[in-house]
Amino acid sequence: MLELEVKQLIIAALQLEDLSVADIDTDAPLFGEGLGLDSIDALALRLAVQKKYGISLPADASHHFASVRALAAMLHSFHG
Amino acid sequence: MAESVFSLARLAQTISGRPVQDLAGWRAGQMVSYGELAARMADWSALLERHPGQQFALYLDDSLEFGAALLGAWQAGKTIWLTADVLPASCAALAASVDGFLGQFPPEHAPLTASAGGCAAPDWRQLADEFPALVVHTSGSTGAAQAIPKKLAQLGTEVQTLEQLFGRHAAGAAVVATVTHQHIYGLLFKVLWPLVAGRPVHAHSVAFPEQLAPLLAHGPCVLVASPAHLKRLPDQLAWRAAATQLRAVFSSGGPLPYDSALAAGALLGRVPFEIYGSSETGGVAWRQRSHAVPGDDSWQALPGVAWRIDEDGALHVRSAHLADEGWLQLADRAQHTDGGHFVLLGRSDRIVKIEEKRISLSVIEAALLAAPQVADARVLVCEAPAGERQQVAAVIVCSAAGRALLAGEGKLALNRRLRQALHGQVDAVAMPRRWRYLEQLPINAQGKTTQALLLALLEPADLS
Repeated sequence: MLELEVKQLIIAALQLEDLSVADIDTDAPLFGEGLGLDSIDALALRLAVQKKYGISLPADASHHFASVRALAAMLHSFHG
Repeated sequence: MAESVFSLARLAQTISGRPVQDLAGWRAGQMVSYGELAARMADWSALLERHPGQQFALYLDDSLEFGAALLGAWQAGKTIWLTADVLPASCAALAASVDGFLGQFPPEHAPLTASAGGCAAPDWRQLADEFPALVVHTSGSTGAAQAIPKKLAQLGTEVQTLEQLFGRHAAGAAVVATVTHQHIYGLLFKVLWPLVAGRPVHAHSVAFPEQLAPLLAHGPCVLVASPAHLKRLPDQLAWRAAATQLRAVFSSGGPLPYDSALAAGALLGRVPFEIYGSSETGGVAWRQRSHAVPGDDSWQALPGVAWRIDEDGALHVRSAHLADEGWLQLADRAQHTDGGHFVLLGRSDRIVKIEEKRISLSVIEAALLAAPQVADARVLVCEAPAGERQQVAAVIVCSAAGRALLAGEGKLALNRRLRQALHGQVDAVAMPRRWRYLEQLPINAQGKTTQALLLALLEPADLS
């Protein structure tokens, strides 16, 4: 379950206290309202994803960070 | 350096005198010429000549358009108010001081924008040193509201200092930035200095490293960045081509840890030049870390800046970047080091810096106390290991309403409710990330709630 793994990565990498994977909606926007993530989290999450999966993001990667589902789909495409 | 070239007072003439096809920069992948820039300057100048007010707030994403609007406004004799954001609280505070809004403000403030009118170029004026060019405005959302006026000569000497110190690195290089020009660091490094020196600028700031790496690889360039980005450069990205083109990297807005500075240097090929300063003082000091002096955190004064440390450890500066010739005390404490430099020891007030944003802990506390769920509140910054984000923590004594919500819907629901209460008043990076709900605040034997007692509530961090 890549989506579950992504949620765990988000919680760990961004140190989101009090939040469990069940609190993160797979399809909800990751940034802005909702989880209350900001531009610094966007940087930190990019760093964590590239480190953990050993990938380098393309310049137009932003839409892959729209939701957990989008991020998981991107990782899936990287690793087949 | 020839005064005729490096003069802010005659910048409008200089720009309109450059060959019209010369490159001023790029926006959305398209080249922008000095002819186009001069035309926009004329449009903004004509718009503002028609408006009677004196004080105008300006906010634009695009640094070239911002430069045209700024210089056009100056030609029309207007003072520009610089705000870092367009949060409701910031706009409300500005509205009390300005006669109008320019650019990308919310519609309720009826912002003006110059239409592309093909206005004939006016006779560009030379501005006086004493001209009240700028007011740097920080609203209640990021600390006690402040309006810091800057005369043209103050900005001019800042630009001259940058050229004197770093000009040989930046010569012939395009300017790429991750920071906005809506604060003084970005305004100097991304707008005024490049326009004065005639260096092309990428008009839009770059949000993410994966966009930065290919952009830097295009040609000779300098990077105007901040620790928020430089601490988080993924080494998986292809930086090698960027490193061959980078001539200098600048960092300001907050401290860059020694290890992060060298790690950024290893990826980008240039160890960042760090600049220490503030909206009030302008540029104060600089440094470039090196392997030769491991762990060195000391700062060297910029040319023309005198400094001293008082008996309480507070840093004072005197320079041409200030409004007058007197000494100005900073809120930072400092200590002398060998070699005539100084190290910073932290703030002496309740303003903290998180990811380069100035945050007033008192303001967050006041906003929390206004929420019906809160009876008492203390806000503090958790110490973070190097490279990790500093988090704001809120220790809350609940009101009856707060206790009911906590019992009925749980801690996460109350966290969210209080975050909503802070929304619009507190910048996103300053939103409390860690919440503690208590029956009463911890006190020591003297009846005081100390920082140490509050910090103890926050560890160990259980993130499992």
